[in-house]
Order: sequence, then structure tokens, then C-alpha cells
Amino acid sequence: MLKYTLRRIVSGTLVLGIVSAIVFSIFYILPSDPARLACGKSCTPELVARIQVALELDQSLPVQYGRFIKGIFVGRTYLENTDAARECGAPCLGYSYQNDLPVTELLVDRLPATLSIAVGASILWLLIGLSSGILSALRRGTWIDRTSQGFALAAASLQIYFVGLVLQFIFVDKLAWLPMPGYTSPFDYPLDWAKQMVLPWVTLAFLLSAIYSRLTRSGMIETMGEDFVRTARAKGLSSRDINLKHVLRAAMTPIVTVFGLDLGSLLGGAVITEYVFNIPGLGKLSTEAVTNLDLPVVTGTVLFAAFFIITANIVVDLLYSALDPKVRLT
Amino acid sequence: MSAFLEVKNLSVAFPTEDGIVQAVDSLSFSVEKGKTLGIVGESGSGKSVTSLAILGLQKGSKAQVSGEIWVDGNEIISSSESEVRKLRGKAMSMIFQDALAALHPYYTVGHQIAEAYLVHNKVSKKVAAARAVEMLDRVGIPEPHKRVNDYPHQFSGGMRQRAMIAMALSCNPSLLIADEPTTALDVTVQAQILELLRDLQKEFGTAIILITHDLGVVAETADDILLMYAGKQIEFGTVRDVLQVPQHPYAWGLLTSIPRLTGDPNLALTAIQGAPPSLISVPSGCAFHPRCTYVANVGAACANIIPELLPVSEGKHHSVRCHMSANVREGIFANQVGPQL
Repeated sequence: MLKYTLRRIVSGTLVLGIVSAIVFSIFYILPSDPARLACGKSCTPELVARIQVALELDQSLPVQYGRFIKGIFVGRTYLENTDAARECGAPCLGYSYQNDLPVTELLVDRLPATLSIAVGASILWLLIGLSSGILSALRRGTWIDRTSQGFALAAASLQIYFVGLVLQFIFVDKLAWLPMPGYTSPFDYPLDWAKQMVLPWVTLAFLLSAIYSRLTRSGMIETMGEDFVRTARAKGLSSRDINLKHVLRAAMTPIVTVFGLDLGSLLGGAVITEYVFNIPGLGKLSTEAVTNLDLPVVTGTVLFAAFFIITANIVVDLLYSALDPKVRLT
Repeated sequence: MSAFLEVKNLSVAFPTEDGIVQAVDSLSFSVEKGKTLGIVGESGSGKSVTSLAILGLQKGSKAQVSGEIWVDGNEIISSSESEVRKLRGKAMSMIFQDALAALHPYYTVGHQIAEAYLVHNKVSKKVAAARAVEMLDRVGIPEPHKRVNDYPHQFSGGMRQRAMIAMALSCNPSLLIADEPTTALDVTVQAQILELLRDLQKEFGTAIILITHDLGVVAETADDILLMYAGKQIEFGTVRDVLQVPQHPYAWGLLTSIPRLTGDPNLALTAIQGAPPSLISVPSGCAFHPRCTYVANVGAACANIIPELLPVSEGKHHSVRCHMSANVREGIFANQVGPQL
């Protein structure tokens, strides 16, 4: 188990290395000069040259990459020995000249908003998705099942930007029940934080609870046909015990897997949700960076997202072995 | 004394999109404590459906169940699910063919046995866990205190079936239904399991219904045989009677199709011609008539009239559902079938 975990961490780190190398190379082979793009309208050749030095575009790719990797572990100083020197402490993921801040600082600054969205929304969609899925499976074929599954199908077909804008129009613009979505620290103003987060949570949960509801329902119904459920009935167990201990327990395993991966990719940035509600999270940061061609930030956000997805994968695999005794990790 | 289990006129039908599937048709039999009834028939003859009906497991499904099933003085079909639930596992329990699929993959064997015990006994979890070890020991699992914490997939096929038996017997039921308990096992393990069932029956006086398609298993284990075809019982009697002087042409077919170790190894195996009927459109008259070699002895009645289940001779326990007269059957058996056995 420990050996397996360590091996997974090592291989995960390797994957991160490969991802970073690919992201680096893509920018290097871009047809346009990033320095020219970053320069703006009133640009002079001297300015382009200075930016090239600042972005280290005058160096070869391996040198750039080597310095980048070294920076992650020991930190580095950009534009050393000039009056514009910039400190970037470890773990340094690059320096954004557009924001005049180290990328790591930007990421750490934006993480709480994304974390708030992801955790809040996932609690909501798990609650709604699982309970409606279980109810549908137990009341299969009745109006409860048809209503909830019809609703789920409709909800799963809607898009975040549509649902988000409609909800915002109704609850913020018309009814004025909620403030404009945004982010305030839950430690300073917990109530404001919750009020501003309600719409992003509901919007994300709307879509995902539909998927989880259908997943739970089909998993439960499939399990109900298993021989071991018949055995449980033959033992004289109550239907409550059968459904909770035998059916749900077996149907949960695939749901845990999907949930881990969903949460992992959401932590890398709830891109559309953050964009729609203008919330300063990681997803917003990455879209801004792409639009402005702020290459160090793009690299940083991609790596950060990859880190969450790889971590989620490892956690899911470990959880899987805890949930299913047949799975042996070697 | 009335029998522990009494089934009267049991019929089970399933409505499907293609029509009504008559899985079991007016079945009657009884089993006393300490006795074993072997129910024999091909796949789809209604054996398993019968056993599920006895446990009332079709309640809540679309199956249409009629007739009477008396277990220890309780009628199952007219009882509610919650009433039948109190009998399941306690008065009657069941073991299934595929023990790997019938045990929950995520719980330990011990947990599952303890769970069965806890349903009907108000004891602590500790006592139930001890009961699980005791039961595993009783069914011959070595080192039961260790194996009790294993998961089903860590057991061998024979051990899994033993664990199923341990679970089924944990509350000392008076009726045990074994639905093809040895079909998935190899022959030596099969023999061990059957011996275990016999021993446990002697010890606890359990009534056993052994469902199988293997006449060899029945011959070794059962007291009575019930032969089923297309949902109907076509022959019933003691093992001795049915195997030594079988009456129904289907029984003759089954017995002559068993290969003999002493026979000529170059001889082709005999088989019953044709295939089992679809239960949606069971042949008219005697359901077996399209496959029966002896229809010429009777004529039109075979295809038109359903034969009644009648005693082979006055006052006998042995009964058969066939239009041929006792004399004709005796003649055919003596001249054509007997010599092949």
C-alpha cells in the first residue's frame, strides 16, 4: 500500500514534468513572437528586445526549461543585476510581468475562490444527486422517478452560462434577493461569502446533480438485480437494510470514482462558472492569462490544474482499494 | 402429523411483452422434517421459480402467484412481505448455485453470516460474530476464526458454498432449499458438499428441497423425487420407485441419456429428441408430446388433453402424468427402456 502510494506519487511527478515540458515547447514554437504580443500598441523595437530578455526568450528552450524547474525547487531572481530585478521565491512557477507578481502568488491568491466554489457546489450536487437518484431507483417507474429523471435529463442538457445568467437575472436583477456573485473571504465575512457563492454553487450543482442522479439511479437498479441482493432478501433482511447496506454500498464505488475526478478537475479552475459570475478564481485567472498572452501565468495554471487532476486520480485509486476488497494495489 | 412444507396447486406466471410465461403450473407436493425432496428438470422447467415462490421472493415483482404454500402452519402467498420476512432465514432458508455471485463482494464472509444471525436473534454483534465462527467450523472450514475475516473472493468455490450453507443454517431453519448447490463445483467437492448437507440434516432434522438437473445427485441424496417438465410435475415418487421403475417417457429419456462406464465407448450417446418448449406457448395437451416417442400408443389424446397426475397403481405414493395405461408403460419399460439401463 505505502509502496504503491509512493510509486504513484513518483509517476505523478513525472507526468507533471512532461506536462510542463509540453506547455513550454508549445509557446516556444508559437508562430508569433510573445514579446511582440505582450508589448502593446506603443511598441518600439527596443521595448520588444527588453521584454524578450525579461521573458528569457533570448535563451534556448532547454535553458529556459532548466531554469524554470530549478526555480520551482530553490526560487530565482528575474532580470538579475538590473534595476528591475524581481524576486521569485520557491516554489517559483514563473513571473508575470503583466501583473508584476510571481505566478505562485497569483495562484495562491486565486485558489480560495475556486476552492469555495468547488467544495460548496460538490456538497450540494452530492446531496441532491444521490438522494434523488436513490429515490428514483427505489420508486422506479412511478411519477417520482419519471419527474426526477425527466428533470435530470433537462438539467444535464442545459449549459452553465445559460442557467447562470438566467438565475442571476431572476435572483439578483429582478428579485434582488442575492448580491452580485463574487468572492469575499469566509473568515472575515462568512455571511457575505455564502450569499455571493449561492448562485455559482446552485448553477454548478444544477448540472452535476443531474448527472449524479442518473448515475446513482442506474447503479442502484443494476445492483438490485444482483444475486447477492436476492441472498440478502432470503436472509430476511428488511428492505431498508437491503437497500442501504447491500445495494447502495455496491452502487457507491463507481460514484466515488467519478466524484474524485470531477472535484479534481474543478479545483484546477471552474472556468465557465467563474467567467460567467466574474469570480476571481483560478479559472478566471487562466482565461485572462490566455487572452493577454501572459505566458508564465498560463504555464502556472495548466500545471496547477494538472497537479489537482493527478492528485485526484491517486486519491481515487487509493479510495477504490478501500471500498472494493477485490482491488489489491501492487 | 402434517408436513412441514405443503405446496398446493402452486402456479406462477410472469406477464411479458410477448405474452404470459406460465413458469409453474398447478404444482403440489409436501416435505416432512428430516426428509429430502429432489426437484429435477431441465433449465426453464420451473424448479427455481418454485423455490423462490416458497420463500415468497416474488412478492413485489410482476409475477402472478396463486395456490397455497404452507410453511410450518403459515401460508406464504396470502401473507404480507413483512410477515414472510420473519420466516425467511429462520423457518426456511436457501442456498444458491453460484455462491460467488450470491455473496456480497464487499463484506467479509463472517459479517454476512453474522448479519443473517442478527436479523432473527436479539444478540450483540460480538455474539453474532462468534456464531459465524462456530458455523464456519461446523461446515468444515479450516481455521474458521481466521477465515471469518476473509472476503468471498478469497475463498475457493467449495468453501464459498460451505459458507453459503453456514449462512443459511445460522438460525437453525427447519427447511433448507438448495438450488443447484453443486452445479458450479467439481465432482469431488460436489460429493463433499452433498455429504455435508446429509450430515447437517441428520443433526438438525432439517427438511431439504434439493433442486438439480443431475439425477445422480438426487439418487444419492433425496428421499422423494419430483420430476418437472414445462412447469408441471410429470412424475412423483420415492427415489427407489422413480429411478428403478420410472413411468414417464421423459424420465426414460433422462435415464437412458446418462452415459454408462460399462457401456461400449464407441456407441453414440442417446438424447431426448427436440428441445424444451417455450413457456409462452406450451404445446397443447401433454407438453411433452412433440418430443415423445410413444405417442402412437395413445393417439390424438396426447396433443389435445392434458393428462392428469394419477397414482401408478391404486394407493401408491408413485404418480405420473401420462396418457398411456399402466400396462402399456410396463411393457415398453420392460422391453425397450429397461435393457438400456
